[in-house]
Amino acid sequence: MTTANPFPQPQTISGEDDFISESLLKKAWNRFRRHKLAMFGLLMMTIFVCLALFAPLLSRYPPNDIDLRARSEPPSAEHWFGTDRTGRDIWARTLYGGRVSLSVGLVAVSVSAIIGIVVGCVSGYAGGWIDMILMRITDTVQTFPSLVIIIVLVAIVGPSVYNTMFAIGILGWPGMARIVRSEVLSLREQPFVLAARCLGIPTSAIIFRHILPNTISSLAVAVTFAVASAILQEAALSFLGLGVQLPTASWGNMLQDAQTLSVLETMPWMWVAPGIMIGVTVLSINFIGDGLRDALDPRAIV
Amino acid sequence: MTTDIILRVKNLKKYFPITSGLILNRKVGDVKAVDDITFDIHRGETLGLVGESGCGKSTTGLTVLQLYRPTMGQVEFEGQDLTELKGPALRQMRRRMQLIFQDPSASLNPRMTVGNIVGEAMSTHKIVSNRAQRDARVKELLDVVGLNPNFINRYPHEFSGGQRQRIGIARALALEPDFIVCDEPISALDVSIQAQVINLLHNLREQFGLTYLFIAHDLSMVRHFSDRVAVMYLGKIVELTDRDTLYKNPQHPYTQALLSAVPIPDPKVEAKRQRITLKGDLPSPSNPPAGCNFSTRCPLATAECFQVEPEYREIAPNHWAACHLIDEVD
Amino acid sequence: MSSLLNVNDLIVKIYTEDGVVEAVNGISYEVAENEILAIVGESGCGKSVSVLSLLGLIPSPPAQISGSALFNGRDLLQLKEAKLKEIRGREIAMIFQDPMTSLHPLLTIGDQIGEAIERHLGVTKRAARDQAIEYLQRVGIPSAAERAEQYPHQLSGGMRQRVMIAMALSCRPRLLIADEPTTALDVTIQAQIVDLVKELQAEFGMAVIWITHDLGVVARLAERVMVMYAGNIVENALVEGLYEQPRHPYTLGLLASLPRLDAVPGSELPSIQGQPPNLLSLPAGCAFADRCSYRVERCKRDRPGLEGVGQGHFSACWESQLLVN
Repeated sequence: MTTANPFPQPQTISGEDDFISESLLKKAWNRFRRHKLAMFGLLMMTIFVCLALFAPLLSRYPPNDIDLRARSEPPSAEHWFGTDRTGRDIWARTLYGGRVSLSVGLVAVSVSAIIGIVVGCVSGYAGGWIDMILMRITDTVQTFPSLVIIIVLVAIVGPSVYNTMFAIGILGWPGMARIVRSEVLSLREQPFVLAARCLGIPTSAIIFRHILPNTISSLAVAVTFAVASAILQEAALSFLGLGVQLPTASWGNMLQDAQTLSVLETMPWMWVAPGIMIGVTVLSINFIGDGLRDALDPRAIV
Repeated sequence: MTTDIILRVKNLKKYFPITSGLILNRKVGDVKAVDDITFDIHRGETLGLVGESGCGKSTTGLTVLQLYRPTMGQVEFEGQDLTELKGPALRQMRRRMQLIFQDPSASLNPRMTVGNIVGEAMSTHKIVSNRAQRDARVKELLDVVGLNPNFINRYPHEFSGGQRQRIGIARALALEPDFIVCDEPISALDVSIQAQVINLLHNLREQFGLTYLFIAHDLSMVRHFSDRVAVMYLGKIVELTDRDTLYKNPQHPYTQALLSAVPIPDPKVEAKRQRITLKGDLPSPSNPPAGCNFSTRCPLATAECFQVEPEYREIAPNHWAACHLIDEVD
Repeated sequence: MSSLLNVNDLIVKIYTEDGVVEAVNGISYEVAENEILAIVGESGCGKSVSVLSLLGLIPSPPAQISGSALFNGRDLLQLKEAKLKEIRGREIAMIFQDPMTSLHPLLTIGDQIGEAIERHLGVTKRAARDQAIEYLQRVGIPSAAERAEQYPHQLSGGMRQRVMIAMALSCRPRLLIADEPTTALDVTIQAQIVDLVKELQAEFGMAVIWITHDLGVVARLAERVMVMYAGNIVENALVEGLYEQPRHPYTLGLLASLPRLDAVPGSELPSIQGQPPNLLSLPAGCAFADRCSYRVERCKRDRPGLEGVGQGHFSACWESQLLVN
């Protein structure tokens, strides 16, 4: 069993420059590596991302090709995961659906993160009434029942991949804004920020060089969990028919077939594959998030 | 003593408001961290500022540098009132005056290399025109503060406490300031490292003609390092004079008690020493006593002390104190 | 004087993610009844670990502790946690740098001291309460009865440390361990606490181990001093002897580097060069050798042990005879 070094005994550098510098990143990676579940998550995600990236090489059929002679076929050597009710290859659709689901997660979270960082930074650094107004807006957005609002939004602008990304992203930022704000609030009072002010460094440079880079650790953790939740939201929306539209495959809309009782009971190959993909992806990303949280713990690094 | 005054502080006050209430922040009082202090610093000297924790000595340093804006009063740096400056004009003045911190770890950005920490301000103020020039200058400074110039690409966590403090000192020197506030620069360091850092600060003063405001609670170190010393108690300066007079002939009862409480590392001397023991604790700066601030703990307090605030006056040439019980001495 | 605590060949290794920290490297020391022993050293020198490890306060694992520590005929290092718990507080009491960490924030201080007395002395709640107030008075807390009703956060740092002392004393321990108890306090308050402990030590007849980095406080308080460096005891002497004639270059350097209130201020402080060694990879020879101006060939090779150099005076240095003036 090991523990964080309790002694204020840094690797004191001797006179000669023969000391191999161990970067912060390498230390964090070493800590991450010890987290078994996180490593499992990382492995799974690497596999899934590769599957999605190389989908054209890995599938024998285009995902949207309808083969009316081979409808609702169980898994076979021809169709590894079977076919759906219009005769599309489920293996191909699972791979291509992964592209859509994963990119919806990433893009939606990027939208949330950008809004969250801007709001959190301004709120935390400016303080006063600006902070108060921004935080009340954040509270308001956070209290929206997000799925309901997303459904309304999508109903107004029409369902599509891009609208889905945007709708999920636009409602996901309050959590990030809060995290960034609380980090900025405490970093703002750090002596090194005071030092930068004393050196006459302009405010924008203080925020971008001194404050934001130090929020990366907690932001990385938050972003990871948000990706998992965005993938779930996409799946839910598409399952309800409001997200990604057929014939484009996504893990969510592949589950639509399972709405029929007969499919649910007698043709499990149609929904098991995308279901497992969603489950494993969300779990893996959450494991990675846990690992990151331990690895990037600022108390352990500095 | 020369009369060339580099910094003049007049009636400086810094109050921090105490607020309560969630939405409407009502002000319910003030923490009088610095309460009407006046002093000068001559060019090339070191003024020691001592006092116990919470007496306002660090706030004084930060307010002088305009890192806190004063509630009232003036801070004149070479005749220019800093309290009137804002934005770019104030940033320009920052080249002339710098700060060295107490905590060498928290005062260095953990995600910046030594080269960026020390060199950042050089680029901002256009002292250097390119990266190569900057690195050369940073290496020079690292050498000056006794660090290996090759450490330029290292991160703060790779250094020991004493080395980190040297990085902080190099950063303060980067803009070639005339005046440096040293805010407890050695109190977070180990005993065997303290002397190294003090010697470094001493050599830098000679080498670059620096003027220091040296804030500390260690009276022995302040005596070693300062030309004149000001003693603060609860936001006010109670006594200010040259070092030798203050330590040999302290006039204010608080100075006397403070000096007698400092342990001397010699058991024989300790066994014979007479000590003035102060009763009780420091009162809260949000609710200072009426009359003299020190009256609640002063062994000599009279009725007058509890009612009338003593005037801060020159009791002898260049010897200032605030106490009713001191007669004019000569 | 008979010995109360006898520590023999104590080794503490702590396993961390960076490697094995050699915190304490085979030290032996004794504490006599009614003695005030000061352990002096810089952060990371093992001064706290060398005492706290005896009381099960350094979790093991990740620490590996070996050696023996006879207290009152029992080896503390062999005792079960339950037994140790009984000894801690009852026979050995402790005060720490930050009293807030050892005071329960939601209980009044009267309740906390009373509870300790009740548990260890088996008296009634009422009697325990009365005694608690007596102890609070004894440690110089004004209007003790009212103060007993207050919570820790309502007291100042100095007052809290007094409460800790009252709590420590309340069970009449035979040994009081004070781990940097005045480091966070101002000099005027520090002086009060040091004087108080000295007074109480004589009155209650207990031994005190005072762990500190402040050589000034040691001079005021202690009878005997142990100087530690990088997990070893480098010098162990009566306090007068140590300050008059330090026999280890490290002690000598430390004393010389302190500016003194009663000396003529000079321009340069004689300082010890360099940094303390990395405890993850201690050198084979003397750990101080790199910084030592008395270094000879042998120092790099062999680690010196404590040798008698005078009446009750021990030093771990090959060249200690050179330090006699």
